[in-house]
Amino acid sequence: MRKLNVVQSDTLEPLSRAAITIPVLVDDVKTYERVSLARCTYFSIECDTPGEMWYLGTGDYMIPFIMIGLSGIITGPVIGVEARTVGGEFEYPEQIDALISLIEDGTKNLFLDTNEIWLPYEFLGKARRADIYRVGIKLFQAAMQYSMVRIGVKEFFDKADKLWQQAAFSEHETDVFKKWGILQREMSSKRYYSEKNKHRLAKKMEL
Amino acid sequence: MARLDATLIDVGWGDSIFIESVDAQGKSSFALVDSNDTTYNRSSYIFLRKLIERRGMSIKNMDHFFEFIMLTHAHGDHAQGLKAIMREFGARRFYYSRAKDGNALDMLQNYCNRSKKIEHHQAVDSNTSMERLGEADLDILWPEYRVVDDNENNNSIVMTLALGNVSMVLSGDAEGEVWDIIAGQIPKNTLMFKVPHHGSVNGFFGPGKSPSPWLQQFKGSGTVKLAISSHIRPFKHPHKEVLDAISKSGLNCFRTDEHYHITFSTDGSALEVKYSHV
Repeated sequence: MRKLNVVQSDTLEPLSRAAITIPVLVDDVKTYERVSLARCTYFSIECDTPGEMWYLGTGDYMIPFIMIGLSGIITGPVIGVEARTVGGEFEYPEQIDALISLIEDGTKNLFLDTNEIWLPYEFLGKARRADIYRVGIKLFQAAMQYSMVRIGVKEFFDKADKLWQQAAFSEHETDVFKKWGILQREMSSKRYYSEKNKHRLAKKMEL
Repeated sequence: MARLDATLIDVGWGDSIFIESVDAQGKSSFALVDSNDTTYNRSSYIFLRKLIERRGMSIKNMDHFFEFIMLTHAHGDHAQGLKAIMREFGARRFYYSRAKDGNALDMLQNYCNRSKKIEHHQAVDSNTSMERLGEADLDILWPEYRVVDDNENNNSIVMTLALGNVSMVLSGDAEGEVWDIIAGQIPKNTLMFKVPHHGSVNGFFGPGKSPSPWLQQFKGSGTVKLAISSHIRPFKHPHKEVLDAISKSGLNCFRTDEHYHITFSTDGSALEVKYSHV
């Protein structure tokens, strides 16, 4: 198993309190030739067709443009009075629905999607599938470069060595996303035995 | 004449299989099993758009391009990109296996619950009676009815497609323990078998590294074609041990990292293989 280099504390780059972090969900862990990597899912906002006019504000000026492609990385729930959010973390399952609704129902051409990055498993403690971790920008950027085949695994681990404190388990968000997942499964299960599926249900009951 | 094509799309790493079933009148029905598209690597999406362009088709007035989209199991390298594909192309059915925790699946279920682009969605298992795709019969060998494994790979849908006297088997990432149970159910007329789990040792050997349950089924058969959706990054699937064992068996093996997109085509009596080579 590859060992982390021991570095002096003043060369580590931990997360500061005000740092922007990105929630990632542990999807799978793989080990091969003593390298353990965790495939993690992050949430992104995507644009699939050109749509309404957007404006980019820079100081006193607004630049009008039409978005053709976009991929933005979600860092937290919707910010606003009605969203009941003070900090940057997901507090309730309803906030996930609110985020999806605002993006997908509120616009014609944006949607919420999932993408992957790979993180050194040793950064994630005893992470299990579906655990949520908060990852700092620098570590996330290094992971993205590796996932996009811009750097190899050795260079990735070299960059990541100083950044291991930039991954922190988010216990409450893990719980929030699990609850949200259960709600999706329950809503889906109700549809299995709808009118359309009567014949399938009958077949199962026979068996 | 009816035809059944299964194309392993070269997605770099992961799985994506495009299926076309043409009936005797020439009408095509389409399906997609898995995707590994990311924002910066949209192999399945580009494959589909190019196909539509080449055939002069238009999806503008279609409610649903696909008869079904299937997610074999709730891992990101099989689920990514499916939402974008659903949004653009639509499907009558979205099939998946049950998962304990599967954020990739949760997001897709959420979308299907809200969107008309997917007419109906449900979990399937070996008890499910599958609708035909064109004139091709579909059957689910695994997972077992309402069984959900802690190892998400072992929740993979193993599906057979059959036209006439030819069967194809799509295996997801089902590992050795699954094949120990179901290898005997592989149809005797199988001519195409997708090697499980991208050709990794987990999908090859039986429990305790016992001889491969599924490879044993093809002993003495020189006609079965093996197909591997490679997963070169980051773990170099297919593994050398698996490739060595396949080589010893004498069976022909096609890999997306070597052969690019690979199409297995049957008229119900024989199997043809077409591929590009980068």
